Amino acid sequence: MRLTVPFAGDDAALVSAIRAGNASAKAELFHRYAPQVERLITHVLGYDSELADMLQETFASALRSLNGLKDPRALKPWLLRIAACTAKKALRSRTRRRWLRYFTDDEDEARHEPRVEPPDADALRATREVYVILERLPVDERLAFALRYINGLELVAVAAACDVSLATVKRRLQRAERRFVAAAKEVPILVDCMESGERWKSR
Amino acid sequence: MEEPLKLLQTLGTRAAEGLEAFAPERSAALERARESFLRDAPTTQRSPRILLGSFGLAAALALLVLFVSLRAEPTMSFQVATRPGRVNDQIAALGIPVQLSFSDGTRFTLGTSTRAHVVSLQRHGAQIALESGSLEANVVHTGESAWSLSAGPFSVRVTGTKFSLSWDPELGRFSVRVLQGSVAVSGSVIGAERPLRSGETLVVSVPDQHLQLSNDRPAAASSSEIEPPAAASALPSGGELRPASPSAEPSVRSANASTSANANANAWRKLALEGKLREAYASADAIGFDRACEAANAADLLLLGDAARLAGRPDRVNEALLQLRRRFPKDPRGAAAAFMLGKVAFDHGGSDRSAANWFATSLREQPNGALAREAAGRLIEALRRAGDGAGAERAAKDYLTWYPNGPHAALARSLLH
Repeated sequence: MRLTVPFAGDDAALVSAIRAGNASAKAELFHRYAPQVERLITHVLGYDSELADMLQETFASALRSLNGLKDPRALKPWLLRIAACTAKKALRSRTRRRWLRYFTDDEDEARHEPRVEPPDADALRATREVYVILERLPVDERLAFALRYINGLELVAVAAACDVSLATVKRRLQRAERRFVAAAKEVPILVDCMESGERWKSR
Repeated sequence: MEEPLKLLQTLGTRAAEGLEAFAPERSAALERARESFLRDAPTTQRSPRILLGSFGLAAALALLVLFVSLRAEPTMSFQVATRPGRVNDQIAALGIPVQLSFSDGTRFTLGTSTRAHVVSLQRHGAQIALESGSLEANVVHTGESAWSLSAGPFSVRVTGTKFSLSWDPELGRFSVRVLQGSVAVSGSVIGAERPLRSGETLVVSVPDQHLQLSNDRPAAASSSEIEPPAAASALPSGGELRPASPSAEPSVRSANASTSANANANAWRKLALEGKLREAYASADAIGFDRACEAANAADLLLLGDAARLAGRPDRVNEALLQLRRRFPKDPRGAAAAFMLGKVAFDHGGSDRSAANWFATSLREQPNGALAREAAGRLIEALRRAGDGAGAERAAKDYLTWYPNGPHAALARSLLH
């Protein structure tokens, strides 16, 4: 339900209004940036059934730490950095995620697996193979790779989202690229995808 | 390195496009997050003030260290029984109660048959989701405590200190009892935050749209029946509840089914169960279709969707069924809802691609369900109309494998020859 008096103003005005407790401004923060945040998280993780929780966590965290934003005009990269941090936490916790039980019956953790739909199965199989390879990358390399090649961020923006220097993100990307290319060459459907746009040449 | 990088860009773009197949789920997640955020959006925290005066250098440094530590990362941690706890790990106390112990001394004891998880940790508190069951809370209250719990469509903000909470998602029944201190409760039927104080118990029935408040303090008013906030009315000032006539023995009176809100809520359901779906829609619309949806469980949402469909209101169908899938993601009726959403998209000028995705979702979730054959056939139609010839052919092959004599078999064969 949209508030009847939506906030209007640039990011600097938005930040000031939120800090002043303006409810419309808080809603506008979500409306203005939630689609980009969602795309970033989904591009890093693949579709995840806990996407709604991660979105809320990102924006709630942003509100709690908004006073720490030194330059309100840099709201968008700051918010994307929080989103990247949320995605990174999810990646790290996934490797340790488990049901804690006090009975011994088994539970299915399939809810964390991306679902694949029959329509356009080849495209989805290719997407799935991309994420299978990404699962094998170290978290920091995966994050940089997904932000650069799937989310389409420029190098400077990737560095900002990962909260590291440009040199560090370039090193991470180089390692990720080497690993990913080596793995993708072994997956026929990925080779097909690439050859449909470009001729594949061995390195 | 240029050519491999171009290939990676191609793959990355294709991967992003492939994820568009999850567009309905992603949209639903955005909507859920939006509602939760607008309902629960915390205020920004004030920066700690730095007091500067005529202190010596050591004192100034001590203040600097204090400032840095106050702005440091959250340090709250917790244990589940004797094991370290982690955010988002599901905790199921099935046969015995389970205690969550936080580093500040706060404790939550999950009752048997209870599922919960810690959503997030902050420096002076945490957010906990009670998925089903009950818990008892003993919260260490300080001026900076920031604890909140969610249970279905309800939120409890803890202003200190001891209380019990229960939530039954199947029955739509929520209750909170404050033993010491106070909490602030909000959510479905309740509306905006209401304070609850020591000795007070609030019970809410979402399907019946009813609240009950009882008070076991002998010197105070005994109990009240509270009308849920209507659209045109406001809460009493300060959120104080009007006491009923005092009586010697505190008690909880049973729900008064004769209120007009409850009577109307039951009326549409009664009509729907009698098969009078158009009348059921009109009755639900009379009390507010969105209110009816908000109070409905999964079965009722499916009924509301069916009623809206027969009433020729595809927008209302989407409203009811998307809520069903969002609020009850594990309910088996979700597959039927997906099928109906596909039909609405296909039959009422919606996106054919979206219709195909919904039929495929229904099939994936219940490949052997009662609607599986119809979903498989409709999938062929939707893919064909969406211009996805290759997809339609694959769906046709699958259909003929499972339903060689089904109603869509002729269509399937025509696509393959």
